[in-house]
Amino acid sequence: MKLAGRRVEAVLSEEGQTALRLAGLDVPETALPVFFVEDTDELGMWVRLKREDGTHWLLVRWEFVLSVDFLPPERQRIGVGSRGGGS
Amino acid sequence: MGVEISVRGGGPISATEWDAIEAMPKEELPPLTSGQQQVARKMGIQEADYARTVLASKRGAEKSLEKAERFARFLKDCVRERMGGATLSRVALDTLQGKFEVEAQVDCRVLRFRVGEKLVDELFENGSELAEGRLNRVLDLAFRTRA
Repeated sequence: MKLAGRRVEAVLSEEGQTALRLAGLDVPETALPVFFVEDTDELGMWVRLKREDGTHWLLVRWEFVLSVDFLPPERQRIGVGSRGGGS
Repeated sequence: MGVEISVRGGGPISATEWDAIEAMPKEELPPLTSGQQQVARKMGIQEADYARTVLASKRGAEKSLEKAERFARFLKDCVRERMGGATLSRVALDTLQGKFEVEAQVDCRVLRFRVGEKLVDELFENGSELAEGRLNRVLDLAFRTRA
């Protein structure tokens, strides 16, 4: 499953949530953190963060990720030469 | 006969595209459906934030569809060149698996084969001759070993 370039909601372990708080993120108790995934590797997801001084990349390590949820749209169909035709 | 082109799994967007979506004022975001509003509430995500996710997902799907369409246009001639009368009938991009599923009509039968999305990206993004050669090999093998 390729997550790079997608916006995902992640359920993190307690340690993962603590790590995010230590990194200065506002992690509410009752909401899932939402990330734009820049890339993934064997260590985890590299996510994009907007901070006061610009864009940062943060590594969310796989060991702290309990689940990842993302929304792919419904299957889309067209025919060559007939763009705009619905499914 | 036309070619059916489809995309399963939407697709990624670039960081630059995400920046543009993130910077959009709330009023310009697409309204959520009632189902999407429910999901946003359940997940504790602000509606505007969820709308940005929905928009990113839609843009990603559009990009993938464009990629599949471009590949279909490229393949159409490749298929015809391999065998007179052969026609491309379907190109389905599965972005979750990273594969194109291709169907062509050959001698009243359906020829099915798969092509890796990475190979197509190599060809279109880098103009790689190696990728073109490998794609031709995939096509040759598909035609040579058809049932």
